[in-house]
Amino acid sequence: MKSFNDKKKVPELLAPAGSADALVAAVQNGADAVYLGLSTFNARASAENFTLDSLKKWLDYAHLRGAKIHITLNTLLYDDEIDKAVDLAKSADALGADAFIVQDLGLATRLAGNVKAELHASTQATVYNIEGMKKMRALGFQRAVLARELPLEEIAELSQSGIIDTEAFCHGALCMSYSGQCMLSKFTTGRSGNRGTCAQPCRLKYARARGTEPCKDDYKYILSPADLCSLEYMEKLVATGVSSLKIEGRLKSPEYAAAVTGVYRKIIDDPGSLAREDIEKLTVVFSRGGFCSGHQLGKMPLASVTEKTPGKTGLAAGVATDLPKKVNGPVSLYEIEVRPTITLKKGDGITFDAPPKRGSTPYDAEEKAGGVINVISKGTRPDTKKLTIAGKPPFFTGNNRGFYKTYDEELYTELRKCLAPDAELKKVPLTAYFSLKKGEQGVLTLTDNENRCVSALTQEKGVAAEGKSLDAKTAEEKLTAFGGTPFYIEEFSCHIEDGVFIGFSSLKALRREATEMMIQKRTEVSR
Amino acid sequence: MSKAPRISLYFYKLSDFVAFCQGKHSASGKVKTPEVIYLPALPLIVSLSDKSSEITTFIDKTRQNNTKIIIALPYIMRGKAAEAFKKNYENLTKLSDGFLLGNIGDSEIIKELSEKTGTKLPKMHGDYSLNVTNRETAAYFSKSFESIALLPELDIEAQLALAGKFPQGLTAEICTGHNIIVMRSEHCFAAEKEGYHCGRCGKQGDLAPALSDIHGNIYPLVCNPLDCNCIMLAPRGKSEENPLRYEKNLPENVLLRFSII
Repeated sequence: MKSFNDKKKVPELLAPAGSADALVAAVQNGADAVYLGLSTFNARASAENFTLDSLKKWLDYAHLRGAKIHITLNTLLYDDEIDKAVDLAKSADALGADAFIVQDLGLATRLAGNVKAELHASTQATVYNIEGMKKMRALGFQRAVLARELPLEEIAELSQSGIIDTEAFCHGALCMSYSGQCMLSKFTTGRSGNRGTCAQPCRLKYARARGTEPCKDDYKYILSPADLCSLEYMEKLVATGVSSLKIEGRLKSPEYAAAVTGVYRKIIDDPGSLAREDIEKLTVVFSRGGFCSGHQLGKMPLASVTEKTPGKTGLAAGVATDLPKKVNGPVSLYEIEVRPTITLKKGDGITFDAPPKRGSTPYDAEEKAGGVINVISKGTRPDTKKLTIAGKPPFFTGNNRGFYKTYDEELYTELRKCLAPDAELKKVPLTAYFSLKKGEQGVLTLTDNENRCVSALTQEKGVAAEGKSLDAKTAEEKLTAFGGTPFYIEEFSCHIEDGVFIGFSSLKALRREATEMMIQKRTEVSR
Repeated sequence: MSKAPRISLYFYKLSDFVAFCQGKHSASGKVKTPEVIYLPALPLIVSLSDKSSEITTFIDKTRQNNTKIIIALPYIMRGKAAEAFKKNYENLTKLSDGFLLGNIGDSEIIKELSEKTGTKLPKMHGDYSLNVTNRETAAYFSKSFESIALLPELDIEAQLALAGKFPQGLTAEICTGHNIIVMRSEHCFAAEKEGYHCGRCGKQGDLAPALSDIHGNIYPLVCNPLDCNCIMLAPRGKSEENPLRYEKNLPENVLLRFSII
């Protein structure tokens, strides 16, 4: 694990926590910070979200493991809501929240200087130039979440300006509109994206019209871009000097949070370690017709607009070389021969491209095809395999119908491991120093990577050894057994007087007490 | 209580403004002397470079009739649009009575340009894209702006209620949903697979191909060919409240905006 000083050179990895499980998944997979909403005033009203009552528990959970929590108060507010939002912020601030992500400038004027937590200007505040950064600084913000439309050059200009810190999206859904500048949902459905209830009208079909006449062109998803993925140019993104890289996705699953955070952690720490399997993993977990670079490498390529479907498509897996054949029996099964371009296995979920329905456009979403329960290695044609699939056979005619892998049982089982009650995938490094002398209590001092230091004493005192005295190796063995805690001992040293002994139960109790002290130290709120 | 409502007209196209001035636009008969007319910066810049353009004549006559001409900054103040605005700043200030600003950074840009050109700081007005929905936000902007347009997501009654709480001296501009900008995009919805700079949007600020949804609603687009981005306007023909319904009860600090396309 990299040391704290090394971590200072890379941006913060900020992951979405739409639910408690997603928070755990993000922290366990290496997020430096997570962002979450409370029950009101946040731009993802339909996420599970958190309550003020449970917030302390999750602040402790995150802080203990070295992660921060940013709270989203990022909707526009009406007059009768400002005081409530201020009260909510102050309560969360008293509990130890690390930052508030704010869109409403009126709220910002009330919070600046009145909360200890940082103020971060939401991407909904539409900051895209130096002048906007200056105004945000004057308002009391310490960070601006930059508009998603900025290329790397402009992210660098703003990040290196030194005005305030910057945060840029690195992965996830993109909006066609500048954030904070879209009223399409409000004016078509009554639900405002500026109030956390966006109905996502950009994921519906539109056609290009001329003047006042609807066009006879096919209706397509022309306002629906593919999701952003910056893995392939991560070195360049880090080189901009941006302070934080944000993963979008509070409405997505904990498995998504686990997968995306884990891969980005790996690549941010070592950009040269990107493997094809990393991209494939994220493509299966969630993607819309692949990924794009948004505007980060220059104006967003028009091909980034997927047109075909607005939802999850998964990983392109090959083509069907035959028609599906129903398998008789009590459960719904069918067989189909395919020419796969990836390895398929039992437990994979696949979908086929749907054929155009009579009278409809050729652009329809895929039909769900079900779960693979058997893969027979050889089909009747070269490079083909026969699959047995649980589910209703899709209807299509002709060959070369594309199919996609949208689920991987093995992958999801692996991703869910971080949600087990005793899972500690991300351990915090501590250094430990133990000293013991005859007639004195033993002392165990633990220091974390932010120089927090605690010292605990044994109940008993060291005594002259009647048989074998305590040696350094045994002391290390007993005092570094931190399994089941969020810690591990990176470096152990000791000074044990010759011929001294202390009982192993004393050492165990000492280790536990020191651990408790460190937990308290790391979760105490300095307000 | 005002005797006659204060009216502003927001033109997306200079041709509509000219038609209005000539009495040939459908709005000409309905609004005799608006208090304010907003004109878009980029089409104006293009027009000023055309020696045969008579736009300055129409602007001068309008100002002589005691209507203020306020220039709306580019919808997205980045890229070539921002460069063009900055380059033509002095000319635009001479033509106008102030600027309509839509982004948090815009007032800094205007201040810096004033200092750089040695010109007097112009009057600044805030557009609804500043997302003013409460009196605290209004109070914040009141330090820099003469007027603030409220977010049209608020219905008219809510906007009027908020206008009543505005600091003294600050005008509240109320916009209905009609013809307002519902999306500002760095993308161009008019461009198809062949790529950007396709020329399909025609001249600066002209009506581009619109979008329609599957229910037949038409969303006009206004494209910026300099940067290949665009704005999308609210669907045509949607029924909506007529603010003139509140004519008798309009506070004096309220300006009613009608957007024209």
